[in-house]
Amino acid sequence: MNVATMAMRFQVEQERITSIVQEAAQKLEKTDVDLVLDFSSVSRLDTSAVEALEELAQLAENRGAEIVLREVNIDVYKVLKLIGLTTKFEFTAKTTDGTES
Amino acid sequence: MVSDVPTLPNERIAYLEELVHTARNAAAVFSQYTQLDVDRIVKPMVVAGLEQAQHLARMAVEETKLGVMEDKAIKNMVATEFVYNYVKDKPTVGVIREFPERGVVEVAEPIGVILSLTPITNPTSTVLFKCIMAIKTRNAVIFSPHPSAWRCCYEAVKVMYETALKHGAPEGVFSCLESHTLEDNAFLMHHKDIGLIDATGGPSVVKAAYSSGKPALGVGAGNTPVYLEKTADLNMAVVDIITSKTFDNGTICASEQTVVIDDEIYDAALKKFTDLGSHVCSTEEADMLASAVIDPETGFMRPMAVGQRAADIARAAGLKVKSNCKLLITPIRGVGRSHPLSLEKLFPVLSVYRASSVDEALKVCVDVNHAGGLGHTAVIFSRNDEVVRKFGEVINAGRIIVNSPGSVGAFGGIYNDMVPTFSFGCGTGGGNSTTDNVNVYHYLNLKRVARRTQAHMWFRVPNQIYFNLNAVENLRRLPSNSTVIVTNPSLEQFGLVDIVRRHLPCNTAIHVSVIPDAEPETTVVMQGVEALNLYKVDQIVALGGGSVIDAAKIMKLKYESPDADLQELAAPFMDIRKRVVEYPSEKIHRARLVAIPTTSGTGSEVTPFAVLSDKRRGRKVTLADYSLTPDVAIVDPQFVMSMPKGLTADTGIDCLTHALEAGVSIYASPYTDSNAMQAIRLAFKYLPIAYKDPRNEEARSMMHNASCIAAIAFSNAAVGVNHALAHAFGARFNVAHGRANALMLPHVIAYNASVPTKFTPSPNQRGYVAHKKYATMADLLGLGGQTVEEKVGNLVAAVEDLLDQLTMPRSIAELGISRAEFEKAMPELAKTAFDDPSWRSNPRMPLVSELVELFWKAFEGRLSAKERAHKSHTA
Repeated sequence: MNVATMAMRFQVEQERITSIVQEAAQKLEKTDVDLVLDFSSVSRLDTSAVEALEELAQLAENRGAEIVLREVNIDVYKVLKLIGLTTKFEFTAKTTDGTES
Repeated sequence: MVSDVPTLPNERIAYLEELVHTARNAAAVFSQYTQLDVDRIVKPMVVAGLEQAQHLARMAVEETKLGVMEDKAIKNMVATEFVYNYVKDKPTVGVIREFPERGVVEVAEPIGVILSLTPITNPTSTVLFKCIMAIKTRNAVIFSPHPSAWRCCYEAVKVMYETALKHGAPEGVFSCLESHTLEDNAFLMHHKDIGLIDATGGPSVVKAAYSSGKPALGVGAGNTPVYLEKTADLNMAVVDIITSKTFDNGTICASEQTVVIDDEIYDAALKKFTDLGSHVCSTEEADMLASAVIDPETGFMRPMAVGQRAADIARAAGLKVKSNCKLLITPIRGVGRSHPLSLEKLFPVLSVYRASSVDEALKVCVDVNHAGGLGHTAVIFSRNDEVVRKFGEVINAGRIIVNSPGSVGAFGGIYNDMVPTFSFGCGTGGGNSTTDNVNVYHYLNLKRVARRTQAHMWFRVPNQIYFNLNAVENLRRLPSNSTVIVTNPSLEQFGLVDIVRRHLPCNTAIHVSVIPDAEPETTVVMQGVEALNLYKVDQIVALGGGSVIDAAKIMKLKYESPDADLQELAAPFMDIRKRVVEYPSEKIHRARLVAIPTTSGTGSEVTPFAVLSDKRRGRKVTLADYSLTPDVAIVDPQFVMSMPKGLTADTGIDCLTHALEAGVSIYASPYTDSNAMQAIRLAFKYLPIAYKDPRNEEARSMMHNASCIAAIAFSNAAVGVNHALAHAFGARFNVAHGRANALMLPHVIAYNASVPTKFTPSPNQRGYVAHKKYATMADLLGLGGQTVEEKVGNLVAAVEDLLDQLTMPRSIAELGISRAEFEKAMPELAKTAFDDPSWRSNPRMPLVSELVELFWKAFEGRLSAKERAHKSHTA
């Protein structure tokens, strides 16, 4: 996926993770678009955020869309690993030279 | 999922899947919590449990019809307050323990989702206990209570969950199966997202948990023997036993089942039981009771009796007792199925056995222990520490309670300092994985972060080394009343013994022990020891080559410690600091060992090694211990001036090999390197001179020093594969050790300098450095070269040149050994070389096939300088 040109971006805020993920899911339901969710401001997930991400992942799979989670910190990544969601998303991280890997 | 999982209706599967899914998500979210987060949740849960203790106890008694409400309330309070008291300051998140001196840190990892089966006998207290443990360790729990205690358990889970949620726990962290069946349990036990099964209950529940293939904590039935020994405080013992056995009407699996009482106090004990409200049954009453409470078909308790009052049980059995009777006492004469009341009875019926001796009492306790109580709990009342110790040895129980109640004592934290629990591990005897009182640490995966540690290294040398011409004069400084000079016949003939004799203090009684000029044998050594004993020596002067000095080392060992078993001391080892055998430290004599070498090669004057030939058994034993190192070394070149050329070359190459191998050893250190490098430099410079001009005093002196310095290096860093090959080859074909080393040397350097097939584990080395160290040696020798590879090549060439100057054979074939003969010997050569401990410090771990390859390279031999030059030119 060419992240820079094709995808719709969402900046996920720590206090509104669930609502932003749900908002992204609504966009996905309406249009065939790939999504980039920037998790750089997220340090922890709660159970409602986890559920919202599970639903988003299921929706993306149904629609054949690709979801990129950007700059997920390691603690959050481990939560996603424990619930089996890391295979459902693409992950990008900022490298030391500022580019995305 | 495995095939033995029962088939369930789809809607039931969906229900169970949703339960696990919610718990899994909760556990995943919980994994992000800090210690502070969980501690903030645990405390209010404990308070809520305490507040609801009576309510939950009342519910439990009403629903299960078992036990005593007041006791269940106490159990609920213990399960909260006492458990909290234990866990409150325990770190259970992140780094929980650090061992800086070992470089080890323990880090806690939650398990995830725990399936917890709880019993009918202690329903709410078990739930409270497990909820607190789970939150403290960041785990989610799905509870599966005993069906007959579901409502009270559900209520207990609800109290805990609502409080936890209110204080920040993730949603779904606790749940309770509704309307469940054994099939539900089986489904969950096999579910991939269940991390651990914590099964508290009867044997069938525990067995099911362990049979699921999941990690499980299964704790089950007991049959607690009690030994009431004659020295016990009888008043205290009887009250403790009644307190314990009647607590919650005996529903706790750790409660007393059979009391074995010493004959001397039996009648008094029974009177006290009676005085305190117990009823001692007659034989007829006991039989009636047995039929009523134990199922003769199964040997198990009848459910109607479990957790009931003594008076009610008596009535049901047709016995007439007082309405306030606390406990029914039933004398028994044996243990096992034919004595039904000797088995587990979770109700206030207690068997007693009159024992005529401590021995009989212990045997009956063991019988009770093995009649369904293995691994669980046992109790002893005694003031005889020896009897208590023996009881602890012979009884197989996770908890052996001394002078206190069994049931309440087993909980821990009340009558003793054991860990508070509501789950008693019964070890393998009870089919469990632990004998512990189950606690928070069983709800954690403990991860060990182990940093690389550097083993302590050492550098040990003799206390005194005197060197250069006439160093022998220093013998005068060494006071001695009685000295034995150990030497061999030729040295005596050459007058070297006289030189030594002249330099010993004039008041020293001097004796000479002449031994054959060969590797020392046991019989020779023992004859020498006889001489040492005869002359009551306080000093041994070893004058000779390596064999003589080795013999003197062993003589000294046997003289000082006659019981030293040489065969045992020669046992193989991998790391001298961890070796199995210990050299004797107790000595009946003490003698100083002064070593004066008459060859320049073995360096035995400063090494901790000695080789002994045991001809009777047809083998060699190598002794190695720093206690064998001579106390004084005198490295005086006057003793080597007359060495023949061949011996000069052989021993000189041995010296060089020591230095080269110590230099690249995995035990090399800056201390050994400095010696190894200096020895290499001296050997390259002075060995050819000493060989060509044997009377050259400087060359002899420097080679004598080189030998000693190289030995200092390899005494502390060991040798390598070159020695392993040379030992095997030399022994098989009777080739001098130095000469055998020479045949292998160029090939071994090239071998070690290339990329190993296998690295030798070496915690003291940072990466593979052998090739670089060879390059450093080449630089030291000024051999030139730009790259490491070139320098290694130049070192090999320099070694080959040196060997040529010493007219060393270029190949094994040159020794007259045929290819066929060598090929025939090869399997045994390779096996012997691989068994040789020398290579274990080699930087490259040799495969047997590589040893074979090296042998064949040595057989084919090295090129001459001319051939090498031609080859180089052609290339």
